[in-house]
Amino acid sequence: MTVLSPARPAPPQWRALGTYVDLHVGDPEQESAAITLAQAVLAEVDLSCSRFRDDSDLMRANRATGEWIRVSPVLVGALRAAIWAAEETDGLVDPGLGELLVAAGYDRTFTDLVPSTDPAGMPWADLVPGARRPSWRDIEIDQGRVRIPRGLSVDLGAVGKAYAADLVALSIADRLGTACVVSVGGDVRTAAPGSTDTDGTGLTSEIAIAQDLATLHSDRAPVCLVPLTAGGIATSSITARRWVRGGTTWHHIIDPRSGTPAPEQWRAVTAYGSSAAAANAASTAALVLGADAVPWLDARGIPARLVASDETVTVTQTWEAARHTGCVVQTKERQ
Amino acid sequence: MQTSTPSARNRANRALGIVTGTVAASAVVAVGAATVAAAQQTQQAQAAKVAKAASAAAAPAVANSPVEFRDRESRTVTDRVLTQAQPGAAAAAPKAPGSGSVSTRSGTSSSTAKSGTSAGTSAGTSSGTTTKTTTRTATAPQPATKPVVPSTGS
Repeated sequence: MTVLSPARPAPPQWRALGTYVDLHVGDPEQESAAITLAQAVLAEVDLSCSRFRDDSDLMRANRATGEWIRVSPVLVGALRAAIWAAEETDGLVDPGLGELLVAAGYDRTFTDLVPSTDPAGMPWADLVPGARRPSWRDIEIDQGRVRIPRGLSVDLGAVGKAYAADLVALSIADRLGTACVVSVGGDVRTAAPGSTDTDGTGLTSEIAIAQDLATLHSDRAPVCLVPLTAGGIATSSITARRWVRGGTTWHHIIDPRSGTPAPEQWRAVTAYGSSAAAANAASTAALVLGADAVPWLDARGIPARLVASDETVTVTQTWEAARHTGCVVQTKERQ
Repeated sequence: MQTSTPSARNRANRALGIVTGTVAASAVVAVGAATVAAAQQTQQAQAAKVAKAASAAAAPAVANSPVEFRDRESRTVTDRVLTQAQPGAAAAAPKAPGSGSVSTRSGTSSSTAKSGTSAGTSAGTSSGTTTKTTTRTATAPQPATKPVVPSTGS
């Protein structure tokens, strides 16, 4: 493990989407333009995908369940990414948990949450045993329109930030012609002009991994540094967004199989991926899986680092190889 | 010099009364008109206030009902970037030379979300495929100073 050196230049930081954003570009002369572009992209993501503003496309679609509704291309892309993540994780990363999160008290941007003694309403409690509840599999997308099934509320929280990081990095590479690396709340993506997510970007970044920002900026725990040369890396944690509802402490990683907070086997999981969204899907699924996470990750060849509640660290079989190269390359071959 | 006789005075008084009455009537009409106008203005102002209040009260209802999507004039995210950002979009990219460790998986995503055209694309791509995960060393030139970027839970 490498301890973070404090003498390194810090890239620009600001807040968006209810979390921190950290950006670095390969060409310093493009830094100002890159920040402006990144802020515009994130504003567009917010207007399209936020669960906390009534005028977002996502909330319009959530209100119009059962009906086809035109939405922005950004929301279409985010929904596709979320459905892809759900498919890749066999539903462990579920974009259909919006109603559950609201019932649990996470009904506004996290910084505005206050502890409440109100019991968490459980929207699935009234479900007749054996009855099928609407799911992410019923979300329909067609030519710039979406239809959310009745009884479902979409929340893009888990993959949404990561997808935003992908959009920011790819937009900067595409429009400004410079390599860059961006972290949106810990979901990191690097990109360069003309490269795909399987090519090296020419920009090697050092990723400082910690369970949350407070830990990162404290002297208590050492920080693990790993390289990133292509694609993405993401850290998911149960320590960052916690709130109290009905006397119970909740965190934002929900196990869709039970409708309750995921087990606290792991405090934080970091995973490499071909994109930030792919990395986030893996790290989130690992938190949900708890004790079953390592074999699940190994079966998929996903480089991952898992920090247990007692701070012991477990890595998957491909982690060390990824640490040396700074990326994971996925190629798919038809059988 | 004009002579003032009783009959003349009577005529004058009648004439004066007519004029006075006319003026008074006119004044009444004018005052009435002004009053009506003022009342109308007040009514309009009240109506405007009521309309404004009603509009304000109705605003949440409007916000809570689906409205037709209007494509925004200035889009920052281009279609090309949206295509590149789709997870799995680079799945067909050429395999890097000098690949490192390899592990395999079989397609586990047999489930598919209903989709007119597009979501099914990713489902179709991931279903029934073998994913080969490899790592490789980046050989591109490096800047003098490596940026340090946080990856934390948030």
